[in-house]
Amino acid sequence: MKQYLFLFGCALTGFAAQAQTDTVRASTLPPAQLAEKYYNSGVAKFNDKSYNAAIQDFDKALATKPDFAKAYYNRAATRYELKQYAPAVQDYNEAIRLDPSTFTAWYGRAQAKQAQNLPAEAEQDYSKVTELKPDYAAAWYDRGALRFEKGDYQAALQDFTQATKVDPKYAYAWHDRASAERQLGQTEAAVRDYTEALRLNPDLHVALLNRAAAKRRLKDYKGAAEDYSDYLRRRTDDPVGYLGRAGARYEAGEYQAAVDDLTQALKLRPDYALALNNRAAAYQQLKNYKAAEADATAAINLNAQYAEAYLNRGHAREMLRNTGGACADWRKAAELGITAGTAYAANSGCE
Amino acid sequence: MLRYLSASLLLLAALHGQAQNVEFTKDEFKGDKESLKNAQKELKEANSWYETDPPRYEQALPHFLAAQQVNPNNAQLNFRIGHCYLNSTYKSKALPYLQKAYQLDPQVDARIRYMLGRGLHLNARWEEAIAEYKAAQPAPGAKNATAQQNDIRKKIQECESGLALMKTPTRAFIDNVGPAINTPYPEYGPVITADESVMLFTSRRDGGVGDEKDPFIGGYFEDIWQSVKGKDGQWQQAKNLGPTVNTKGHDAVVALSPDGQKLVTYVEDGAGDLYEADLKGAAWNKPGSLGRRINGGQSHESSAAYAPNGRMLYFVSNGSPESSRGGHDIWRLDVEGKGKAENLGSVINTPYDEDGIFVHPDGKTIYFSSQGHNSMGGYDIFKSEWKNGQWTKPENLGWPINTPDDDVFFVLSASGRHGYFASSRDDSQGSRDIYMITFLGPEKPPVLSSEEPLLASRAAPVRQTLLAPAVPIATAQVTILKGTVTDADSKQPIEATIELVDNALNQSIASFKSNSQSGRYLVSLPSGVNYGIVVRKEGYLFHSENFDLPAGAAYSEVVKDIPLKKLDVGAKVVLNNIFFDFDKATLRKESTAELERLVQLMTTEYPALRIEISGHTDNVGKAEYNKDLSLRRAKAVVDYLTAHGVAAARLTSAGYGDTQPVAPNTTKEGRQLNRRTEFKVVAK
Repeated sequence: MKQYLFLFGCALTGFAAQAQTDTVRASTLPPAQLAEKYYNSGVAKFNDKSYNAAIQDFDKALATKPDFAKAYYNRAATRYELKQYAPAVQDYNEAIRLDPSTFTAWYGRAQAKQAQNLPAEAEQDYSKVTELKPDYAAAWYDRGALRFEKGDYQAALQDFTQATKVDPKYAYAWHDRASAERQLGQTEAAVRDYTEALRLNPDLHVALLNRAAAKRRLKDYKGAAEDYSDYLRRRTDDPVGYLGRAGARYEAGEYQAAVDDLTQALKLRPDYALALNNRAAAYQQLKNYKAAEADATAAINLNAQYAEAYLNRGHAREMLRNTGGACADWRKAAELGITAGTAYAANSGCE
Repeated sequence: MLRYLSASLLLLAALHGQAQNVEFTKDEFKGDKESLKNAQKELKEANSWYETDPPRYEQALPHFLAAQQVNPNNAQLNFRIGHCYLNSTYKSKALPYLQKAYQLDPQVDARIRYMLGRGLHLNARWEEAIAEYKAAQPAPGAKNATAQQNDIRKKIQECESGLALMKTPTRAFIDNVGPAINTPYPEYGPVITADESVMLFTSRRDGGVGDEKDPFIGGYFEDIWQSVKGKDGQWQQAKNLGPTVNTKGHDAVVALSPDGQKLVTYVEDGAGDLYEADLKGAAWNKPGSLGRRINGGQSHESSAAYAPNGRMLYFVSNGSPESSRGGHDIWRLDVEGKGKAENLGSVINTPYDEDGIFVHPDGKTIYFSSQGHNSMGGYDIFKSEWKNGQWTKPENLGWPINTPDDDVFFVLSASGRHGYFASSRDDSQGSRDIYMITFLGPEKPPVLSSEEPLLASRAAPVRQTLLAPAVPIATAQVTILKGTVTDADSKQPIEATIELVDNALNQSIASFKSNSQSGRYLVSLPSGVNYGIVVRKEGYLFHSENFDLPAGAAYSEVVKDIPLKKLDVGAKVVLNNIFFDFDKATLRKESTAELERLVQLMTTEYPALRIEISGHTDNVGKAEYNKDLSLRRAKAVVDYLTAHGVAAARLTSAGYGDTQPVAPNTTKEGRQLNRRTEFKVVAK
């Protein structure tokens, strides 16, 4: 029998995706266990998704028995469901104070802090979970994701690797390990791990997108286009898939095919600035400079800070003999972080 | 290759089956005797030009073409038209006539396959041309077989070069410079000042000094013309340089100094010599021979270029066979020295002809034309840099600047952005025209964006940018300094001497003069030198400027007007080339040249002059400290002068600290101007 309530898990990871509930058996109740009764009622209401009613029961349980750690924990979990993250953290704090050896409270608080956009504090709590329960794969995975998001890909890779060791069937962990490898330039390994993630979970469509991108880096444009096409067969309405396949086709020198894909992406999402920018690049290669300028301008109209679009519009304007406009665009791109813009301006007689 | 060969032969065979050779006979023109008569008359005229020695192809061509209007299916006539075109300005037009000649009669002439190769070659149909050249191999034992084989081998190499170069075209716009310069007559040989403000060129238009046609080669005699760029950036209507420079015969310009104050002309004197003229005020003086150190009695000198320091002249000559690499080579001569001209060596000169030398104002890059190296046909334009004591391997400027025909006489602006050359293109005003190339630099790859949901557990995709690769900065490493020298009081222009000094080496690099009428001057300052620039004129205080241009400093253009002050009591001059260690009164060695100028002024030029040397600072720091520092610095200069023979009684020193600013102290530039050493005339 489990000694704790685990009301929720990581819905996105698919690991412990539903609430696991337990009750304190009535046969073992001492005569006046009022707190436990409220507690059990709260658990039942939680399972019925009657969260506010559940909270009232947990409140009563705690009023009766202020050191009832499990009640704090369950109320925290219920508040999390109601997106009341700050009170949830307070309850987790109490649960941890009363019983610091229970890893679920640490894990729950980590998730609540993550929801509060406190990644550093969440990372600390995940770390505590990995100490208390090293075979708990979700903690490794979630900490890895946080580390990935802050750009520490090497540490993320170690965490995802640990998650796959603890649970070799953990498709998400294989997937994200591949992404970390990709960011570290280990592209061939990334392709292998994305493939493993797809083997474990053929419905993990996103792995097709990412494997395709990795193949592009390996200059396997044909393989990349196949993956994108496979993805688009499953998700015909996703402009991101068309954007990706257009990239593969562009890199293969198939500029008109890239334009066609990007036009399709824009049919699905007319305000897709990235597709406009990339179509500008493809038009540039097709020497259709007016269309390139128009698309880059449309991308800039959607996002005035879009450095790449300024750079590309500069290229188009250069070929349209609008040197002043090109110089202004390259300089703007440089100002927004693409330093090559400065060199382009210097090379082109910009005053 | 075989594929092209067989395709070409099949096509010709098919055409052969459709057409038949038609002779100019009565039988063939039974119903049109008048046309036949006219055609035969044209043919007679054409053949007289064609068969003369040397043949006069351009004169023969219009008559052949008239005959061809009557009978387009005569193999020999088509062959001769093709042959004339191959020897004309419009070489690429030869191809359809040669193809027709071969189609009508594959035996029309023993040279037909070679000619077809030439026609295809000149139309940049590289692979087909190679196939024809291979089919044109002479029979073993034929007369001049080895020479022919060598020629064919060279032509095939050129086609292979063209094929390779065309795969990576040079990014550039090529524009006709327009009707202010170009006419329906031939224009060529453009030369420019470093700042592109003036262009001189050669034209064979009417309205020249002689305004007559050359009876031997046809067309008007060459004259030199000039166009000036207006304030709107457009070239103004060209004007003839006038009878001082232009004669009734052929006069062609080959070089202009970067400041536009000297020009070199080509004169048909002996085998062909180079002459030089100076701009005096607004008029050029009469060109005179550059002398025997350059012009050989029996040799042909065809091109020249000034190095930016004006002391080294590069030129092209076919003289000195013992030290030549073959044909016309490029040489250089220290015009102020007494030595012989030096051949540029085998990295630059080939066994084939070189011509059209140009030295960029950066002083280290030359552009020239050559029939050797990896030319794609005829002369191609090449670039080479002086690096680590030697010339780099010449680099072909590439397609479409170079073509299978002759590409020669190319000049480049100091900025490196614009080149000028002559060419016959579809948009020409007629014949050869002058074109401007705008170099666009290396390829600028567009940048793609992508977004990928890198974390499976996160809903939002992560935006990824495929970074633009770093690009080399290819701007010219030279600064153009230009302006006007005037009398500070009357504001009238002055012809003054402008001396460039390498402060680190304490050596004079070059000396120029401002124009006597306009006072204008222009100097090229290649990067990598701390320049002292001294402007002098008798009766005036010298003016000094400093330009410290570190190696790699990119192109810039600086306008600096210089008002010279008369040597009167109370006149002040800033000594811009006196340098102190930071926060100290220790003179740095780069100050030596300026200090020596001061010594010379005091001891040789004006031995009675009495001056005050003063130090000045900006307002950073405490006033007392600044005053003390400025005084110590002034004293350091006075000490130097007295140690070098100037009587102490003629010198006073003063430290004014920040009390006499010449610019606001609110900007970095202003503070720099305020930190200075001055001298003031106390008595003379």
